[in-house]
Amino acid sequence: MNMLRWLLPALAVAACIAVAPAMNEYILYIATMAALMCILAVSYNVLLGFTGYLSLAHGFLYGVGAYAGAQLTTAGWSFWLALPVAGLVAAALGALVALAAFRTKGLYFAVLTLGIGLVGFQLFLVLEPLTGGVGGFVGIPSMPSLPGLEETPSLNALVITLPVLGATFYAAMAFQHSALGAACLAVREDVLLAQALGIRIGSARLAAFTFSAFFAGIAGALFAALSNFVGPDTFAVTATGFQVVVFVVVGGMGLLWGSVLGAVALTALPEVLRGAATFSVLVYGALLLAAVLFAPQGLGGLLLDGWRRWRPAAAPRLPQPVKAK
Amino acid sequence: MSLLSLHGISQQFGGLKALDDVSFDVQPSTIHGLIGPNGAGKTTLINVISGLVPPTAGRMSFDGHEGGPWGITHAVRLGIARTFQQTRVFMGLTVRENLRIARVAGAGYEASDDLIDALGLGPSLDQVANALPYATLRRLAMALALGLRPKLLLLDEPAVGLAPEEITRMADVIRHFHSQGLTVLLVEHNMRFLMSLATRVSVMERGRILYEGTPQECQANPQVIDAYLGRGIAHAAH
Repeated sequence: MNMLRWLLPALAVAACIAVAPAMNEYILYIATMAALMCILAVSYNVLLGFTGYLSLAHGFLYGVGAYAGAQLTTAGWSFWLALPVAGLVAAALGALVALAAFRTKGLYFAVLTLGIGLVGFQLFLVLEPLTGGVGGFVGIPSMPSLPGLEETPSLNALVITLPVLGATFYAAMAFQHSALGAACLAVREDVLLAQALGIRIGSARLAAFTFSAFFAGIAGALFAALSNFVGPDTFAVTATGFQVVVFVVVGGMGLLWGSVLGAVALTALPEVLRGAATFSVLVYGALLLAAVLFAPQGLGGLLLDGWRRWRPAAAPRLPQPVKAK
Repeated sequence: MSLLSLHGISQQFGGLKALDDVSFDVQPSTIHGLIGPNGAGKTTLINVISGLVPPTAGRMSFDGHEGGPWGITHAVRLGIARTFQQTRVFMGLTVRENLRIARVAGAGYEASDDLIDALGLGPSLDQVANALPYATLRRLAMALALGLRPKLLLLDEPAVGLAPEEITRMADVIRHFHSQGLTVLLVEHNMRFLMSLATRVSVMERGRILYEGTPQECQANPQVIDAYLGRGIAHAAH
């Protein structure tokens, strides 16, 4: 079971890559965006799901990665080098945000990160030499072509994005099973008891936030190379900043594969509902509401519950709902 | 040489003096009882020793280290662990997951079979804590603290709310780990339980140490009887 748990993400990525050549351009684009959102959701689940802290600054950190990636690749850096460096820039900024934000708790933490998200958005607007301001950053180089995929850029983008998602997932799994992951779990469940056990709660929370910011930055740099254009609107609190919270809540807080489900479902849903024209937003909202009301542990929780009913002995334990701080 | 020494510990909360110039020593490998009426400052003292609350004044030494009281994380590193009056375990996690966290916090020490057996947690390892009976929760709380491999264990009313047979079991658990060299500072209102375990007892009243002696001396002391035990209880604890 344990072995399978570690093998499954690689098998899933390999399966997606195997079927990708059969997809048309439109499906390839949606699949790549979904994979990108999965990276963002998995990274955010490390913070919200593992520690219980609700940050609204994640969209800003995603934006930092996107602009950093755009700047570096436009300046001639290799995409492969720009990708981790953009992650590091977002992680460094994320650590600073965390140091400020973790001075507060509960609702104040969410409000403070909301403020950081709003200030960050304004910075994207006013720091024109770095970001292109309102007009955005244009002419960002595309992802480099992999051998044999020079003629199919959309397929190339998906084939590059999926292994990055796999790596993000494995990194998050490793974090979860590490001493830091256990410390985060303790912080999420009972801060006072965690302290009484000698757990350095500050280090655990900082590590989770920085980890989360690093992969948000990576997702941002991928997005920049995928779109060839980066504008501030994408990174507003009301856009990605809020969207990523919904991915994780709908998918299942603390369940890594749940956040993948949430991101895929909510990226694909608007496309599926496109036919419903003016009703699409209404249907989207209603589904969201239903998910929160009837599946408090998310889609992941629903599936685990179903599995438990079907095979009680084989199914993993349904985790307790995460109490967001 | 004392394992724990407190010198002039005071704790003021606004106008309330919760601890007033408290000094006493705990000798290694002993069970030291701490008794007194509600509001005497026992839990505040446990909070100060464990590093949860910094004192207003005073100093503390522990196991040859001067300069305390320390912050809670440092206190744990030095070998001070505690339980809480109200049961605190990670309620949303299984017993196994609880013990894993204690193991990680205890610098990689694997919760030994001895610990799990002594506390009777074996059959409950895969149960979520919030589904456990109260007595098992109390023992799990103790397992978390013991998982840190402390030199000094601060127990804040471990017998509260337990049925008589569970109190006996709890006493056996304390004796078991004490026999392995563990020093215990035990706060408890159940006098029969405490007097059967403690080798020395400090009595607190209104934030001060009123008296210190053996359990027998405490039970015979008129000041202690008047302030806390009362004639009936002193007699019953014999």
